[in-house]
Amino acid sequence: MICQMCFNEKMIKNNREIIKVKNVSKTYKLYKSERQRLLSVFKRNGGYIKKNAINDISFSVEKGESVAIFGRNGAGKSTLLKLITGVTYPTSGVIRVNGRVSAMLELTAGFNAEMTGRNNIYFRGELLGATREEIRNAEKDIIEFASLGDYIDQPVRTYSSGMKARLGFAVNVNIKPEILIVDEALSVGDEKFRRKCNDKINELVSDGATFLFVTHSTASARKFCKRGIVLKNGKIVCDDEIDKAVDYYATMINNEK
Amino acid sequence: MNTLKEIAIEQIRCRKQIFKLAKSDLVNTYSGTILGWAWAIIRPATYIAIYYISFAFGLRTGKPVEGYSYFLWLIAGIIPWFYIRDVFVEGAASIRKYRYLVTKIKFPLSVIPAITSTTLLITNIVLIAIMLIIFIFSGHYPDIYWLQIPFYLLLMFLFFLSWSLFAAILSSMSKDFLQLIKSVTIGLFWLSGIFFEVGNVQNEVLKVILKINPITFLVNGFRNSLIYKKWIWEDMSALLLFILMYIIMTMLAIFVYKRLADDLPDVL
Repeated sequence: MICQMCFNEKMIKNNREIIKVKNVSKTYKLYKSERQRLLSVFKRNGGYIKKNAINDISFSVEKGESVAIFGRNGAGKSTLLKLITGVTYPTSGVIRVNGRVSAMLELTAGFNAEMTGRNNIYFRGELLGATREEIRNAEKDIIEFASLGDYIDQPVRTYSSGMKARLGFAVNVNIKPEILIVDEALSVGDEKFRRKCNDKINELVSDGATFLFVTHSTASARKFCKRGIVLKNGKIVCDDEIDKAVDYYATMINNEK
Repeated sequence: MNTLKEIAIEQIRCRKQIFKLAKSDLVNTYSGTILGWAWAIIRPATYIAIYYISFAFGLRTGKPVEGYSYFLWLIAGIIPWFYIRDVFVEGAASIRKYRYLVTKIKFPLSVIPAITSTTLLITNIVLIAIMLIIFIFSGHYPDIYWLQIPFYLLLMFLFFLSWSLFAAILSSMSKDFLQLIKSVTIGLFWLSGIFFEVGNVQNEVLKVILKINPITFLVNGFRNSLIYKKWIWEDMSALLLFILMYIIMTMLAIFVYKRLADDLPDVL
């Protein structure tokens, strides 16, 4: 694997456990000013407000599970996904991920705007841990899936946001991810493309990929996931099978109104 | 020590990505222009031509050194300086430039300064090649001392790789740091013995500064290979001092890396 955090399988006792999150907290430092931020280089504490995004969370996901994550804005869903993806780091606690993670946190992000779409397929594919050979085999599928036509050899900066999103989705799902993380990305493109995405995710999940799905739409969560986790103020308040989690989430929102 | 190992392993593991991004960086600089790659040569060639014209026809102040014209003496130092000047500032800005690799996807942070350093090194190698051709056309043919040039290039690359990591992390934390770096570049030029022979300097303070300045060592290295015909080990104290400076620079880089690397995705 290239540029991917590889974890020794021995570290995870239970072989089926593909993601393990143990006592993880994430605190963001919000600096009061640019000056405080500069000073923070030299001194250890102070000058910032602590913001707890994730508060002592523990759970694990087994291989092949599909889990929906619910929560209101600011509940910590995106931070949790970022932590699992390895984009950001926990303030305390341990996260172990055992497999190739394909994360769609922001579909349009992570492309080099100056490279062509085709070069970006290779660039991003390799960052995701695929070998050149694997990408070459998937290249045709990716281009077809993204339906970019002749634009594939144009620099990505000339793409519309829809085109970028389609390419991002196509790359992420076509390199055989072991763990697929989607952050409400399914609302990309027209009806036809959405259906294509749904089919592809279903295909991956039935092939044994692990799927984490952050969404507000309980309907689509029911469609894809068997298990649901509800977050509230950075804590897990419910971790159960999908129907119960959806009910819990619905009640929670109603009560807060 | 572990951090150093971790950084080194990441560089090696991601070498392909480094070259790929460096290549796209180079292509972007020159594509879209009609002359394309020729600009990579035209721009520095203009610099050299201006120096040549001013010393050949205008200012006759520069005396020949060791049988080499002042012009040749000057370019032997100023061409490595072009690399140093660029990597000093662009290396410091590298993480900000490749922000999307930090905040959007998982990518090893320590690799980013290497991308910028590699891009600039490739450009500089082209310049060095042009310079060597000028030397040959002036009747100074290659000899065994020229073999030191790739080695000095490597030292220059490694030293400023550590600098870039150090400065890029600090610049990501604070824009003021980047501004500071931009404003001291010109001072660095005058404190590095690029325009004058270090041996001729009378002022004691300046002499010490020049001596401990790693840039002086690197620039002198190119001149030792091309003009003074000296081996790198002939001035042992300068070599040891450079190594010491390199270790200090690398330790500083590791220190800020350990301290701040994990925070960067959140502040950028």
